[in-house]
Amino acid sequence: MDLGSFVVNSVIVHDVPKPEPGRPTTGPLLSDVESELDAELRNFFSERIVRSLGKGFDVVFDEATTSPVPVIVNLALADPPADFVKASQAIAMHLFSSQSRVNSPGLLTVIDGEVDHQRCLAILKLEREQGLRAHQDRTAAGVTFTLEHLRELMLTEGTRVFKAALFQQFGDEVNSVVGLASDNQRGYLPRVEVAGFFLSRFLGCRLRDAPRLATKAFFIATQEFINSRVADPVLKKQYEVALLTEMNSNRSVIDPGAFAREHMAAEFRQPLIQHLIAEAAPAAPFPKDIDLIATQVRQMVIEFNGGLSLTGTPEGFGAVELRTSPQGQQEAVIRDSVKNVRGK
Amino acid sequence: MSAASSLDYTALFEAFREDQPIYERLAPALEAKLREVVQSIGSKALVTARPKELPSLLRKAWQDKYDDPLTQIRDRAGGRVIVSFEYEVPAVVEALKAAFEVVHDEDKAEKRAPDQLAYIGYHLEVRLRAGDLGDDEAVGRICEIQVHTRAQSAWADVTHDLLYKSALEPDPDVRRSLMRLIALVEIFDVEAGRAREAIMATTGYEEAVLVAALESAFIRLTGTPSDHQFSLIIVPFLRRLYDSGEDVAALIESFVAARSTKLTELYARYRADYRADPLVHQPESLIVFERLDSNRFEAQTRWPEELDEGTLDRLAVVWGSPLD
Repeated sequence: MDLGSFVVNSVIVHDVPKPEPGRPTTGPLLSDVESELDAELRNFFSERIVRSLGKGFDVVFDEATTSPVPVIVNLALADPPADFVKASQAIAMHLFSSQSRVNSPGLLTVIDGEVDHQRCLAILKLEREQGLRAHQDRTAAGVTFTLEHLRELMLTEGTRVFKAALFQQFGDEVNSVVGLASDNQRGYLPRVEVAGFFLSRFLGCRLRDAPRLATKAFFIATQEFINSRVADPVLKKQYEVALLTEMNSNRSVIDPGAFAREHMAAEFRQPLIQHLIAEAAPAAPFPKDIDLIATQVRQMVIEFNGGLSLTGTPEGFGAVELRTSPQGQQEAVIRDSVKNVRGK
Repeated sequence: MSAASSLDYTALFEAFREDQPIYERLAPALEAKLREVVQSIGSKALVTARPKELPSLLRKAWQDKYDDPLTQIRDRAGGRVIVSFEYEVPAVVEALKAAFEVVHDEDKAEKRAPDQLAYIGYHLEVRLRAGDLGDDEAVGRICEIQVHTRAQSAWADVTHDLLYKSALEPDPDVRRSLMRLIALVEIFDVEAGRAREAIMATTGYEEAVLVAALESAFIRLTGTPSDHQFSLIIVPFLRRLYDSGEDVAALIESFVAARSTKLTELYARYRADYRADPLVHQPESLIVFERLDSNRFEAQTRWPEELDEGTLDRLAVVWGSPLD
């Protein structure tokens, strides 16, 4: 999905407050009319979607969900589509009923648009900045957020997108919808990158790729890249140690782009990403789960052409220096003391 | 008795006048089409088009002694494409030939004898086809399109007014004076072209050549001009995003060919967005998009410190792939 092709057709904004303790629940302030848009606001929403979902996770609708969002999205993307305003109101009502007092209030923004020339529906929960009262305006057609009010509320670089999702229809089949979701309020929490509340309870989605399969595919493809494309044994070892360290770290997400930038020389960064794409391994961030490769990431092996091999933990290889002698021979220097020698 | 004297000018005037509204409608459509053609090759040429005025048609019928002026005077609407330099003429002519059905074309310069001063310019007569201008009544009609340099165009305009529109017919000496100006036109075009080649070949003008390539691509994609001076300032910095030996203009050309739909739509979306980064309205944004598309890591690593780092971040978002 090329987010750079995103085109905003219609936008509607609903104010979803936080339930206040001890006060009667009034529900969300629903708009009846789409907001008027100019080029700047259209691009503002496109850019917010790109910033939020550029590092989003691929999601699909969960067949077992009780959330109404999948049905609403399918109807909104159908041909002919369901009423956009009513669909967005239903989503806002569902968000309000899904939230508890721990969830922040926000402006639920539903966008009807196109990406890759295919229809799509985007759902953003935007921060309602402190000090700015979200009031709607009554027009002849009903209640709405006017152009001026949207500018005041949103056209600031500081406006945060709490959560975002985008669903794209492809093909003619009903339910042939792919999605992206991100949750900027969660931060890096182990194993829960997109809050269960947002992804599952509200959107009715699950991650498209099982994290353990994605992790294994990334690990194998990256290791293959290191062995086939990196000729210098010193760099080969350095990158393998970095890969294993990444796998064993406490970080719950692997970002292949960040891995390439942080650990590899400039000449290998883009080729690694291209290699991952060619091998159908994830090139965008994904939740990490090393279950399927747990034994492979604990130990590292360096095999030599003469038949010798060195085995140890990634940390243990800190004592091993690989280098090339002035005569062009590769040398492995181990700075340690011999503990014992035995047959195998 | 000459053929012309046998013409019934009242009837001829009426016949011309009857058709005139069609040509008046056709001229702006022809101008738009010519603009589209020159934009398609990335040219910054000026274009104009107009219907021939009735008095001028009658004068032509009289002076050129047609037997059947209604049929024989075919170019009742004319367009002109005006380029800055002579080297641009062949590309424009080729583009016009590809866009129209050409029934006659003539390089006036080729007909000059070495010892003669005469009008120069490239003329094409085109027969309009269905779909050319989106006007059914235009189909089958002939238009004349002239391709001039600016100097040739200036000479043609001025002498046309003096020779054909003055109250009195100029005497032979005055006519000769006007024709002598042709020599200056020829010298102007040759010297301007020579100066341009010398400037472009000078060491350090690689960026200027790149700017020209970027502007050409940008015009093809957007149909809008950009700030040339701003490009001359920014491009030398952005050139550092590539290795020194790389043919950046060729890379940009193939990038634009591969991504023309996305780029055309993107620039159209941002045309009226003055909140966006100023580079989005400039051709050098093509360099940034090309780098983001082909090697975003290099773009980040090599981003020149003289330029705002936020620009790369904002253009990455516009391109659809935010930086890490």
